[in-house]
Amino acid sequence: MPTTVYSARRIITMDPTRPVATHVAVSVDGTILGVGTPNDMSHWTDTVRDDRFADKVLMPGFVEGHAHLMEGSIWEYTYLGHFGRIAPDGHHWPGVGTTEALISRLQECASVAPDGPVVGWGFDPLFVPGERLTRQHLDQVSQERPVIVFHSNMHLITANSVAMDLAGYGCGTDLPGVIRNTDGSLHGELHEMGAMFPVMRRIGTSFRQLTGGRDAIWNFARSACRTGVTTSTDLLNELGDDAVDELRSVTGEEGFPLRLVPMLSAMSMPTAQLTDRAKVLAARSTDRLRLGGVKIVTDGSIQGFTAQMKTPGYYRGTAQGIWNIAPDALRTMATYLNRAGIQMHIHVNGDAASLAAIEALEAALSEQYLPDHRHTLQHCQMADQAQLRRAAALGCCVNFFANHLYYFGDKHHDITMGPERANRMNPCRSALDLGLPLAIHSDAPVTPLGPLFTAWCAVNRLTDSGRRLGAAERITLDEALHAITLGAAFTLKLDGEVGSIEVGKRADFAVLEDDPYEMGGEALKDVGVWGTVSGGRAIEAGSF
Amino acid sequence: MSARAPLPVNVICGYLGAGKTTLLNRLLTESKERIIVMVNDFGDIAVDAALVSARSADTIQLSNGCICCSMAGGMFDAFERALSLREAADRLVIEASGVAEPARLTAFARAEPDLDCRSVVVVVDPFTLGQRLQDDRIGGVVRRQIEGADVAYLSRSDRKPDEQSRKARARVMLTNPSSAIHYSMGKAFLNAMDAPHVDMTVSTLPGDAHADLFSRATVLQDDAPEREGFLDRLRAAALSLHRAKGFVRFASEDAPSLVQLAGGEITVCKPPNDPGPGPAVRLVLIGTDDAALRRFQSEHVTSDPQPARSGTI
Repeated sequence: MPTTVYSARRIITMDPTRPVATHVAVSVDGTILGVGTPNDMSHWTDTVRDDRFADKVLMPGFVEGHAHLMEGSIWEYTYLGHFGRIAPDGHHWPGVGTTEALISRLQECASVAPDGPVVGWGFDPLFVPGERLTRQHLDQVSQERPVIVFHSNMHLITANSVAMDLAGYGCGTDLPGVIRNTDGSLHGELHEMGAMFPVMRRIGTSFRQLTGGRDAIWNFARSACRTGVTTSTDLLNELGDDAVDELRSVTGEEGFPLRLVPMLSAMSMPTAQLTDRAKVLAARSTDRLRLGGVKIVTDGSIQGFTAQMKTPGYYRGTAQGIWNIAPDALRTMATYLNRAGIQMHIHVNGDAASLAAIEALEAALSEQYLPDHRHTLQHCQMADQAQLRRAAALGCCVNFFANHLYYFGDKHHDITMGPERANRMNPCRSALDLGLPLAIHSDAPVTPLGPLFTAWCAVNRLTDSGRRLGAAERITLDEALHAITLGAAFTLKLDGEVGSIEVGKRADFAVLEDDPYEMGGEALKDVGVWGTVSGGRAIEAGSF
Repeated sequence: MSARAPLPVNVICGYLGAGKTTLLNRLLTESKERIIVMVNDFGDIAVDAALVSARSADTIQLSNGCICCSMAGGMFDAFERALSLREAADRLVIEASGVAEPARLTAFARAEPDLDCRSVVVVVDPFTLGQRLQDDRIGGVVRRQIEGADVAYLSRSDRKPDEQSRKARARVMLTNPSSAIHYSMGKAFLNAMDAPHVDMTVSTLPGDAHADLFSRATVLQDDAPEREGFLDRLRAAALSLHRAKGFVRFASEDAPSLVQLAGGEITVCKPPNDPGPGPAVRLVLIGTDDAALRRFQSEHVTSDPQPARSGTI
């Protein structure tokens, strides 16, 4: 069986012993056999030379350490966000800047499908000037069909009159979360799940639909290929037997170009059952589906004011911090899981949540030392220096939400956190200086999937308006590229298999049109992506 | 979506270890109704689902439904499932997680026409309440659980109430004077559970100038006020109040009345259940005009040495 030798303009290996190469030999089963110069390839006799990447740059396939499969399913609905965004099918949806543009986009989408509900997503009223979107605006889309618009945080919808009628909401309705105008009439906004539920169940939309299904899994792989990603998490999944069967079946399909790493939701069952379930799942892993990790969610989000903040709390606005698990219970859960040798990914946004997680891990690791545990603090956006020192002392990893700096940085500066703490958010420089293993992420679909963009955020720390947040926390191009390859692979315990181009590892590559080092850190987000090589197979973005 | 009467729902909340599961099991043993139990585990220390008596009609495990942090549709699924079992059940009882905010759960039961939101019960452990309320990490949740409840059940107090339970009772009353306080699961408690839930939350648009300004104030007064004078003062304050709820025993009347203010209208009626012993005036007020709240407070002498709390909600 022939070995394929790919040539490239440049191969950035992330292997410190051979940082740069031009040729890579790949076995028929997708293992890297050799990396180097043409001379280094002469050992193999039965080879096929593949020069299609001769003018392209290869990197290790990017690793997204914190994303959700929902990125693949949400596109069933019409995109209405402020920032332009690329769908899995490659269609570029420009940002929606006005209420008129929003109405006309929904009208178009309504005209394509003859009946049924019209549903949009990604809307953020703070970016749309003028009167806030109302029921009457959406009545202009249809007066016969229900029309609902999910706000970008998914905690709010705006609905038209037909949708309101279905739920029995009308003038005089006085319910929590059902917003009224001063004259008592319905505004159109519904806040939080309780108020949204009667509308959503009557028009047949549910969040459950958005977490799985063959199309969603393939769509996610399409977006991954488009952005150079060959390994990605699905960082919260209840992973029932049916869901696991489906994931095994779809990721096992011919040509599926992604290693998927779903994490079991710790909230899906009692703590005492978690360890057994995680072990059962680990045993069901395949080459393209890696199971066994556990995700714990502690607090909410900063932009939603539901993150748990230490004194002095939020800068402006009303704190509504939530705990999804009590700090005491977190300590018990962490102790159970650590004792069983199970790796934990712990969602912590606010600094009170990161503190609770650090304390829980300290207790767990004091009770039982677990070498090389790689317990990872996910998001960890507000951790201060003292917390980072403690996390480093415990041997934890951090996966920062670098995309927040761009997408929400201005809001954090002006409203949620204020200038000082907005500047210290997602402190990549400090983490590296303290020796913390570092990854950075998009949390797609919260922000778009795209590790090069995420790396650009960590290198430049620029907000949407061009303000630089905390210049001292910038990292170098080398460090940022490490964070989206080996760094993220390390947090998933996959750094022995992927994350660098080395002999014996999987032939997973990001195929780039441009050389990040020629473009430089400031232009990193503009580096073109041709597609990926996954397990030795070249796959062009948009080809499937 | 169903021709049947809406399904009655009770939410039982309370911090870890307060005694929620014990209460639930006794309820399942003593009630004649067919009860669906929704257990909200979230990884609490106790394996709640396993502890729940096998007598329930069905047990549904509920996991978190916050899309920004969990991307899971757990709450939606759980309520759909409960509604699909409507024919087989007389009541849905939700045992919330130790850190659940009851308002998030009652919002479902209040908004959904096929559900009928009855009393929210907060189970309080008198021995740890003071410490919990002062814990800067979870004090807020424990306070909001009491604020959101119609009925407070002081666990471990079946015997003669001691100093601890007396203190706990005072704390509960100060936090939520309009809750009916019970020490045992007798008939009065079961009746109280069947009363409709009275909601005190206020809905505003984000960015609305009022959104940050809602204050909550507690009024406790030992002396029974004259009915007309008291209602006149409340009426005068009504313009700046969003909601008020509580119990008032008027002078020369034996039993307390339930006094409520919503949508600018004051209603006075017989309470659906016995609120238990307490000061003559036990009222909670929510409004945007902090000064008006304080004025109303100052017109009513509180016997408690601690100042009535007033702050952003």
